Amino acid sequence: MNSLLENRVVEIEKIADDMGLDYYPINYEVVPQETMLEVISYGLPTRARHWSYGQSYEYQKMQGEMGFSKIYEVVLNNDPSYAFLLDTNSDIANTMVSAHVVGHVHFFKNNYLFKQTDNKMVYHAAERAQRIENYIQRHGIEAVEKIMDIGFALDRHIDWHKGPNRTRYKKGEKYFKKTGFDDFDDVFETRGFSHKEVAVKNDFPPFAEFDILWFLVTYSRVLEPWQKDVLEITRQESYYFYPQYMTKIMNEGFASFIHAEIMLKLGCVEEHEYFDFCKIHEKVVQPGSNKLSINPYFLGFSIFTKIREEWDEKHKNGESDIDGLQRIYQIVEDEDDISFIRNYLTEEMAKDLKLFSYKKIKAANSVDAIEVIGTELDKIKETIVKDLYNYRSPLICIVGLEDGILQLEHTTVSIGTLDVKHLEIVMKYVYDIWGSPVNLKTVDSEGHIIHYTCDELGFSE
Amino acid sequence: MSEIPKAKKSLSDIWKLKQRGKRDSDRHKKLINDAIKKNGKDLITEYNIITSDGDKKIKIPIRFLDRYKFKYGKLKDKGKTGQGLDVKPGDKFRLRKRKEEGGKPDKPSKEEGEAVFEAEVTIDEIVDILLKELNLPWMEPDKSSAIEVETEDLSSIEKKGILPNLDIKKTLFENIKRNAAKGSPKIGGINENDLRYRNWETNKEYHSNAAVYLMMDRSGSMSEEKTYIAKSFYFWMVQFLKRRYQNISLVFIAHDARAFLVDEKDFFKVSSSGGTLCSTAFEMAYEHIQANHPPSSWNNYVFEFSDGDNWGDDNLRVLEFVRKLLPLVRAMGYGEIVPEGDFSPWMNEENRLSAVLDREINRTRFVSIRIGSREEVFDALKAFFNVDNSAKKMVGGV
Repeated sequence: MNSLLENRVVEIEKIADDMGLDYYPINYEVVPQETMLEVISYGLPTRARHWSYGQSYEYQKMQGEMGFSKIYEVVLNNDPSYAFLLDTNSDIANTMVSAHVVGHVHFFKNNYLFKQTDNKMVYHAAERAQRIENYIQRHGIEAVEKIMDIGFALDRHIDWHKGPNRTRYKKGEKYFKKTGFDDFDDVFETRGFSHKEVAVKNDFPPFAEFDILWFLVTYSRVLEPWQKDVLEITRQESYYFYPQYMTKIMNEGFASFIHAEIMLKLGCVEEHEYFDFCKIHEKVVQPGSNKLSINPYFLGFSIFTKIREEWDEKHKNGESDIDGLQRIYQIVEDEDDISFIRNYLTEEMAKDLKLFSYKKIKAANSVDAIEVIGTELDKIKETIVKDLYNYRSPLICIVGLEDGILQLEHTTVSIGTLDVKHLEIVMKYVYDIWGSPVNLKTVDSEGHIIHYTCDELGFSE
Repeated sequence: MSEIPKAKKSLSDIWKLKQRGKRDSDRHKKLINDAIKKNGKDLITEYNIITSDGDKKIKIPIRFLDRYKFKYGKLKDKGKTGQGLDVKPGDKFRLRKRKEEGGKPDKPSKEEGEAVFEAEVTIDEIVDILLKELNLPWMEPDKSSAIEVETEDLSSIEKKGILPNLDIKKTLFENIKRNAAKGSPKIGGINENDLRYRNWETNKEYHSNAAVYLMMDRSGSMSEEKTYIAKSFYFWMVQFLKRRYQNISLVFIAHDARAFLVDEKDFFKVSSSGGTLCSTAFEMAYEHIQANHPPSSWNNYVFEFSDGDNWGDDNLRVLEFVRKLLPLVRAMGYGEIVPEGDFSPWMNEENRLSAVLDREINRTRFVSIRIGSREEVFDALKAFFNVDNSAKKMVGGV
């Protein structure tokens, strides 16, 4: 980091403090493009190796070479936080990005979802990576990769409300059913005497279990300790990443809002630079020329800007104790993208941004086309948030254990059917680490209930 | 702010960044290669490959390298949200292909039903892998496949010669050398001792030429599938031979009851006319080789594909020309594509061309292969190139 930027960061943080921003200390590092691509491919640069990061690294490289994506910054949710800036960006671009980073780090420290994440993850990931490295030494890369593949296949199936750290089901959690009769009641005429509580066949798990990895790691009898450790590591990472997935619009919108605020107050920027800043800022928060998707930076930024105006007005008129900025901090603390869109995207804003909902259709000569459904606000909200649930994965839970067969059920059948090719492999994965047959209930495209099974004979419908 | 120690070493050094991406993409590439090896036989008839032009990088779906998930296959279309357009319900728009842009997307935006990961490999890489698997170590350019031709060249440097052949550079160099020995390395005072001449020298040059005769029955009974099999075989045959020869001349001969010299793009088009006389192709190849590709400077390869529906008395004529061709070729083969359940009730198995050739022709430079399905193309290639390989061992070159 050059001294110019270093001095600016000092000033940026001073302004941020004055604004009441509350963030972890930030370590900035200016890195070359290649390092940046690595950080992006890993998400968490200290985590254990896996071939799939190589795959996304190659993908990112290609995207970069083709000019599809320009990356400005990566910032890690950790205390202290780590921010990576790109060495090929101009000083003014990196000044803006540094201010943007402060917004993200405030978000990490204050948002209710992020508060539940491990804010020492960068170090924990490094320790875990070392453990995995040791397993690779001992068991070979193929064996470890295989377990990691399984972990990554299931890591979207977590239960956020129950959290990452859980204990085994307690006895009391068992659901008992009163049985009126014992098998010998007739013979001994002891009716009424043998009123006892027995566990019903399906009482394990005691309730539908959505944290599939946790269940398998905790109750599988075929996994070795190191395998459980590897699976648990991927599970922990999934909990760490989940809030990022759930707050993309807010987080980016807020960081953009903050960088704009700070840049306005920043004294040390030269006049000619300011023009460049405006251009870059414009680019980040533009609606984008793609009319069929929404730039989350733009949407979030627009909503926050609107909230700011409204509450500043209220504050001025004595209707509110807090002003726009303070209101924004509250919202950052309490909401995620789903509630943010539901609560703060207004009719007026939707009209301003000319939002509309549409679906894809096939035109006559089988060209892809779209048909506008409408501009009704509820429909627009619904189509924006629908992808945010459950890492955009089908919801699948463990409902029971019947005759030693693990019963899974796909519960979000109204959204779509399962990809059978993937299903086959993932069922085999589950079978491998559970050690006994696995059954999954879902529906086919006609809405009929179907069961898929994976056992020692393989996968079948 | 105060408690962070100023990092002396940069984080990217501490975390060993700069090495991870490379390490994992190497690992990824290795897995792709393993996958290709494991599926070599399938790749042989992969449509994307054999329809490629052979130079470019091609994409082949590597399904086993996906990150598998429970995921949706077909989503019920609940709609999406667009922006920035004045529209009303029911408006329809056609989509144009467009470049991604806007914002700062930091993750590849993958649509539902994420695309199968496609590995980008070159044909060369696949050829490497296949050759290894085919166990054909000879596919490097070697002396035995090269043909010696004597040429004369101005190359040796002599002290005596005629003035027009004076090598000025060498002469000046000698002059400087001589002056340098006397203490002043400069040009000047050139005398007879400095003069150097170039002289003609007889050289042996190795020509690495192959003429490949690709022949195919394209009578009505050659179905699309059969043609595809032939095409797969020929694609790899040419790719493999390219490894070995600098110059390859391809000759395409299509035939039904008559043979035609055609160009590549017409070669795989099947004509509807009936009648099959395989001998016409062999005859044409024989004449073409004699006229254009003498074995003294060409390594000739001849291969014919048919479905064996050859007219009975033509088999003898085929035998005649195969025998005539044998001394002119490095390797020759006949492939008979007979999918299971595809048989002519009036055909006596013993009279099939493949059976006749099998019986009658000494195997040294010839092979007759029957192919039932795409899966057998791999073995057919192996059989053909083994013939070439043993031909090399026995005759030690052409």
